[in-house]
Amino acid sequence: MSPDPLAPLRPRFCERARGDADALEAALAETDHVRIEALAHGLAGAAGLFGFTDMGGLAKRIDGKFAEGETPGRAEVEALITAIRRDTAAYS
Amino acid sequence: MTLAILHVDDEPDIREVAAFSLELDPGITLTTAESGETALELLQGGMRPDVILLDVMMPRLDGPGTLAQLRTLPGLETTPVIFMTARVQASEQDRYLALGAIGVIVKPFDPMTLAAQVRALLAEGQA
Repeated sequence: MSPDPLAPLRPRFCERARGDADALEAALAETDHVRIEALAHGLAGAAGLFGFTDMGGLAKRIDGKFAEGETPGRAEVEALITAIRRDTAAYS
Repeated sequence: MTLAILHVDDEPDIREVAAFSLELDPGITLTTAESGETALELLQGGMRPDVILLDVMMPRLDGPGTLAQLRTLPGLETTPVIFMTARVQASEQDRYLALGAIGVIVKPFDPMTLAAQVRALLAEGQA
């Protein structure tokens, strides 16, 4: 078995995640919290599967705030966008 | 033991990794659905899986809503359902169990042990 069995799936995840970063940026500009929650929730579940623990952790924190009825700060969403673009750059 | 699983999740990455994970177990046959609506169509068409893995947060029809509807279909009144969620808050997980799920698997799950987790929850549920 390959030492990294998910390697074939990772580039596709990265491509989708970069699309999510663009969508998060647009949602932030429009203060669309419903969209931000949906995007962060998806990343919270998926990023860690591919070993992107920083990205996954940031997404989980945002998703957790929504779950508690709070609204995450703009800086938290911007940090997630930065992490996505930084961590997926090697797979572009 | 052979196990027919229906996995329902709107996230394509999760479906792909779960398929990879579950198919490591040669006793599992897997069907995937990208929405609660698609899952219900399959079930209304006669599919009767041994266990259903159900994402909680999906657009339009969420996991709890899908569970409520599938319970009204003949032969699915007691089919084991396991919720899958990225939300780790205990209150959320208690709520899912109160809806009738036999367990909750937190995402991200370990791709190498997902099948074993499912089998363990089923064994606990049948004990």
